[in-house]
Amino acid sequence: MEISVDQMYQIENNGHDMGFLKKFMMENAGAAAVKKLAEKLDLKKKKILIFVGMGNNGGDALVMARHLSGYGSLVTVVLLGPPEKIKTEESSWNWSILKKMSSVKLISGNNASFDFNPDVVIDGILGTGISGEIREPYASAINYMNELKCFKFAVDVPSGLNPDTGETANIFVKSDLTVTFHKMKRGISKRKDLTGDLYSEKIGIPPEAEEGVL
Amino acid sequence: MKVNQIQVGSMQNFTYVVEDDDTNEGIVIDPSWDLDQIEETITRNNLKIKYIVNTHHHFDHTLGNEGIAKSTGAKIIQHEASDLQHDITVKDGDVIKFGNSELFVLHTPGHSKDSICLIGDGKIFSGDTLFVGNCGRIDLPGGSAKDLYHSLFDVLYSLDDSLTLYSGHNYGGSTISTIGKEKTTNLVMQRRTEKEFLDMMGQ
Repeated sequence: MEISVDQMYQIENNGHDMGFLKKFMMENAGAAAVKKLAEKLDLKKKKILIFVGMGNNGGDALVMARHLSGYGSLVTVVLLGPPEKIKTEESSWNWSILKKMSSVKLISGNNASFDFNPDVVIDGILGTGISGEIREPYASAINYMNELKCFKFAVDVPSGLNPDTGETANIFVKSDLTVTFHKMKRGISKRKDLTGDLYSEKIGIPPEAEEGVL
Repeated sequence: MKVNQIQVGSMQNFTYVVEDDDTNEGIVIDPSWDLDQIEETITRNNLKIKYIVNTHHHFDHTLGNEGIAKSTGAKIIQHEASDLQHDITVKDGDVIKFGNSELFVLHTPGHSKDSICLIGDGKIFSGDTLFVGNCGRIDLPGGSAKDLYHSLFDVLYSLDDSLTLYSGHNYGGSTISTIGKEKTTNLVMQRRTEKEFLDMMGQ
């Protein structure tokens, strides 16, 4: 069964209210994403560049950064804004952990210069919530990602793709591998041209959290 | 736009905390009881609440206005037909903006004279005009089955089927629905003449 973004958000909130907090969902999402990536590629010593937006899609990507470091990858995180503007508690919490990890290189702020030579680039820029035109600095990061010749991975949904309708914004990411979470969103599966290989992974949300929503 | 639907109090009311996707701005729709839960959602998402919006003046949709206004500094928005104290008055066709999000105001009288629905980003907040599987009462002061008929069939019926429905109470078989689903499954949304509708509603 494919679901809408609104249904997914209600399911997450119901799970959170049951005590399965959003920070646990974020942890499981990031872990599941890395596990899928590890099935496709040997991650050891790979240079991995992660673009991170200010919302919870970025939070999932921050969890990935920590797990990838554990796999022996050489991780660089580019946060597309100042750390104090991170939108949610669970994302901020993950950023604060990375700050204590010397194995992960952190770059933040609006004017990061895009000069990298990664083996893998991860799109944690925009998740399910996109409204209207994509602005800077997200637009430049997306354009830069698309120009890179390396393997591309999208967390939850390629940035710029509307997960409900399958329509794209003015700019969007074209990925090689996409892992979405809990259940497939109806607009994502329509756009295999943008997602590449597409998987939906469980992240521990109790099935009971779907009651009254689906 | 992200919607936090929170059931509050003992009358199955829904309060909504709605977040803009691009900024930290948000709004609260219909605060009444359990304000600690509302505050928790605001804090967890680091939200700056710009407005409190009431879908109508009834106490179970407005009781928490003062509390939330005090803790957040938000301005209270109501329809021009409301007699309650508020900061900003809206009418049909107005737009409520927070961050990069916009909600359009539709005046939908019937349950009360000042009932409004809010539409934006594929969602409709319908207050007590339309529930999952039913519609609001018309027997309270200011209620009118005739007004409700025209709100349902001249206004809501013509909206996009894909709109996600967020209503004012948890009265249905599910907490959310869509306009399209309600058109096919909700008894009150079945095509009727005005007279048939008034007969059905007992007015």
